[in-house]
Amino acid sequence: MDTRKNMRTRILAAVLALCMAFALCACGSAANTNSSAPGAEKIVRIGDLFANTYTSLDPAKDSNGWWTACLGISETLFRINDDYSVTPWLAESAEADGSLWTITLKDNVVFSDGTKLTAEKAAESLQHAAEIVDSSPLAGAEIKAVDEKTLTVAAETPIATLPNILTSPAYSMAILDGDSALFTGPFAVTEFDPGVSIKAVKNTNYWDGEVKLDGVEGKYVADADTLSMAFQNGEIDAYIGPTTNDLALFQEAPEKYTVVSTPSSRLYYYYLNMERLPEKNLRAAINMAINSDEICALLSGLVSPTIGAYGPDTVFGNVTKNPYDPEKAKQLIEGLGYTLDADGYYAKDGQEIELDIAYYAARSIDKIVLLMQEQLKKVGIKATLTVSEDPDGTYITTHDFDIGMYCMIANPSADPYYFMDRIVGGGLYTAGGYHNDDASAKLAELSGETDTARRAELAQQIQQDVIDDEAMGFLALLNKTTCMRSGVSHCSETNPVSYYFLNANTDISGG
Amino acid sequence: MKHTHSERTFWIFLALAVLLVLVSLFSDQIAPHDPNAADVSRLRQPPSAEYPFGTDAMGRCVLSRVLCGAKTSIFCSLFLVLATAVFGSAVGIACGYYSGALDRIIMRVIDGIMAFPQMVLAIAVAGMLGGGMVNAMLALGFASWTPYARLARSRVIAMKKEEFVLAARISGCSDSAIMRRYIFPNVFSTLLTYSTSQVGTIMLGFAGLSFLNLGVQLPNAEWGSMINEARGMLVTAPWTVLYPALALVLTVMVFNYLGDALRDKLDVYRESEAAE
Amino acid sequence: MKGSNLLKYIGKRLLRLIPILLVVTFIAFSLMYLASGDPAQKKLVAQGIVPTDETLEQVRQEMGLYDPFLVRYGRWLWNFLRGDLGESYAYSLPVSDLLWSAMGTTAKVAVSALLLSLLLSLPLGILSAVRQNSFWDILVRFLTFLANSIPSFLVALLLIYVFCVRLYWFPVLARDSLQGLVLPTIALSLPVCGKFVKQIRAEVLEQLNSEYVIGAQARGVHRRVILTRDVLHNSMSAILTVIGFSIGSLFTGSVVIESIFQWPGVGKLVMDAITARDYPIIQGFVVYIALIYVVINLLTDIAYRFLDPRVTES
Repeated sequence: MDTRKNMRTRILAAVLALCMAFALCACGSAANTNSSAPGAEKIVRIGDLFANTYTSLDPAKDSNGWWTACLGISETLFRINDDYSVTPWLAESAEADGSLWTITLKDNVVFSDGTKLTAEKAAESLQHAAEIVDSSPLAGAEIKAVDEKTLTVAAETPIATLPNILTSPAYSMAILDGDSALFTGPFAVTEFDPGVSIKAVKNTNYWDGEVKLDGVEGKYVADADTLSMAFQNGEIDAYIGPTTNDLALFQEAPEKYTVVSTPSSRLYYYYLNMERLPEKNLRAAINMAINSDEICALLSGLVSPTIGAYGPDTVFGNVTKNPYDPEKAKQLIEGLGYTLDADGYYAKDGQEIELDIAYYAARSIDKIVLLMQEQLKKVGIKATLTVSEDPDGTYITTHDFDIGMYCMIANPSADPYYFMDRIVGGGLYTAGGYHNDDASAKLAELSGETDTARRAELAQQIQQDVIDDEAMGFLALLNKTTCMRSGVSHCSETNPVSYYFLNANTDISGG
Repeated sequence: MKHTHSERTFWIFLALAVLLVLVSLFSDQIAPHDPNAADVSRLRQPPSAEYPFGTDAMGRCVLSRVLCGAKTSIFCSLFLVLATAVFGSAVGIACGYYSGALDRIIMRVIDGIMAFPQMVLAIAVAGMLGGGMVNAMLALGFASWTPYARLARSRVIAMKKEEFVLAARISGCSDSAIMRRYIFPNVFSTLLTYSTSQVGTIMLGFAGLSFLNLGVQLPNAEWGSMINEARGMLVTAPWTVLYPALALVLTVMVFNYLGDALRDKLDVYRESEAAE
Repeated sequence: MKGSNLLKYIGKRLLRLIPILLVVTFIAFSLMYLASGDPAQKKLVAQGIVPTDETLEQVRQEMGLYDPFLVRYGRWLWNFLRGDLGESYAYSLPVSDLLWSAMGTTAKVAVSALLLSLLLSLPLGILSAVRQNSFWDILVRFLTFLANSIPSFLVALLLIYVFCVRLYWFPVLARDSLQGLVLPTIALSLPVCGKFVKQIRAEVLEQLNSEYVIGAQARGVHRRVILTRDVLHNSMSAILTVIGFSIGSLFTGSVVIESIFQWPGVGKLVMDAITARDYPIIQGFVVYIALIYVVINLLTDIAYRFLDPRVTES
């Protein structure tokens, strides 16, 4: 009798407790949506798929500066405008005299605690970055403050485009002190959980006008689907880089979401392994078999077509290549003595052409390779897919691929040198083993050239060499697609640079 | 009354299971389209006459991929269950029959393997080996052969004392002959029941590994990986998730029901035999 | 007498643990060598360093890769016994620290899932057994079947879709909060529920058909009294064993569920480790899970003996 009563009461109590817990949770979740009732704080929360790699607040380390730049926390001496022109930001001006650069700072720039940005502080930040950033062009340069607002950078080898280089978030102005850091941006860091989240509040000392938001928050989200759901659920107010599927969904509901796309300079491309595919005509056939228009259709809205490494309407984009032509591709392969076998693949001496496409599953590359596999199949080339978690540590280093997929920003700091050096300079990222004396000579010239028109010309010639030698394939340019909940406005959505996101003018109203 | 009922259930589910196996066997012939043929002109199309299950984010026919996935899921599961059952029971019968030091060592190893939850071990092994169906099979196989060995061993030990085995031994039968002729047929029904009940579990295991990207690799279709690929499209193109999910759940249910029905049937059989 | 028997049993079981643990640690250690390629290179790659011949050589020396296999295993085992599972490649932190801090988070979901499962399956299992072959029994059995046949990742996806995306009831980015606990708990408990209901139903049915129940019924004892006083009491020990075995499903489920819900427990830690090829974490994970699994099963076995004197003799 007794046990029975006990048991019943216990079960009842447990059921009640559970119901209460559920009810509490349900109530609590009502606070999910960012209400803009009077007196409520105006906070914009952004999500990012790569924020787990941001391990400290030191902008020069890894790519931490990207995260603080995204959130409007850190700023640089120069910035890239919507049209890729570079103008002073925290700096007032910059002048070159041979290998000596003189940079003058703006008068009114202060850190979030009110400390003035002096030439000495700026020189410290640059010096720090020069020491830490991988193969920094500033490494070994003599950086010193001349007076309160003037500093000089004297490099051993002339730096042709110092202002461009200084647009990189790695060269953000910062006062680092152990784990904490002060920056000059409209928001000041209050909480930083490495690899997880970052919170910042309005910088009341901001040097460049009134800051509209009360605070910003950045969260790491592990995958694109979760990010999109968190955005639809109202846990995230804005993010960059939806999937095609989400893009269509958001565009269908303009009353709920604002989506702005602008071509960026993040390039999808592949290396052809020059050692494993020595026949130029075979490489040409591969390039002709890949239809990048289809890739653009597959990722509709996410990417823009391109011919070279840069968009056709940019200053570096005037290059030409063979159009998509599967018939010509087949002829080229047949010209090499291959014949179609019973499976519909080209083979010579019973040996099928079998290409290994090495890729990594980020930024929809997995979808692109699936399509490429199908396209190659159509011209009689068999392709297999090999996935790696980290391309740099695997196939880019070991050259273990026939076609090696990659995706990177071809135009960092609004300048082509970096990427041109990567694809023809012979370093790690010249992963296909490509070499061309003419291209090398032009690259050497490019490194010292200060005339912008000539730089553009050289960059185009190098790309043309790469295209003519069938060493690589340039597939498409990723758009910077900013998704905002309705009410969120003035993110840097029209700027092509992906680390410009939140700023002093960003605002949120009832949504 | 009850007998005929469980009998009927068993035959119904056996027929369904055979049907599923046949469908997966002839999936290449049944599939209306090439399961891997991408086509950017028909991305994420809702079900239609030409594409009864619609198309996915690559413009591939979902029905064809579900059918092709059936081949992967059902065949790999059946093969793996068979392989682990044969290997496990061979080890178990041998251990039980011969006893001795080797038996003790093997049993300790089995204890050790069984100290890991099955899927945890499989995930770890697959994670170490890297993705791929062969690796997934190795991982699941490594984690799932042990119960057969234990089961077979305990049945053999119980049976060794039985008169007919002793009689066979006295009459000069060789060990392997005794094991084959007398012991195996007697442990068979136990092993059959257990292995049938394992098909569904293994199938879910494959799906789980594929969902975690530890199973099939691109571009091959498998239900778990199809669900994973399409998980973001529940809102915009639900058919890309729901059809493979339905196929998976229904197939697992059929095999689970079959396992239960088989157990009931054999139990009934044993009971009635005992009663006689 | 009974107490000393129990102690003897515990002692025997503890002794039997030693070979099991040897095998467990050996398997966990060998796992590292399942992965193809050079461990030194993998370590460097996982740390984001592009390997060169010199760094590789240096790391090989540091890792003691030139020693014989058994020597390496011995060293690893010795370190393991002192609680040192090595350092994560990706985080450069001790694996045991990472695992322990994540373990607490996993325990929250696992324990609440276990509670929810018991809460749901006890009444359902008993109902189903008492009203055998009624409409409710058939319904419960069908639902049990469904729960046993649905992969937990699918449940998780559907829960997120319905409750987060459609109804906005719960957050998607639930990082270790009470609100975030609800959906993972449900997703994790569903397959466990399926197993529980099945076992409880079978056990209660067996008890109901046993001689003492039939005898009591014949004596005119009220059915409800029999059910609560005898049947439930006698089923308790069997239910306990089921709980012990469900620990395995809970951990397995946690790997899948946590990565879907972004719940920062061991499951997510190990999935991240698998994608980042952070082998020491995977290794540490399996050892810890096996240890916990073994210990919990030992405890349930002991409790089983304690509760159910009938088995003491065997």
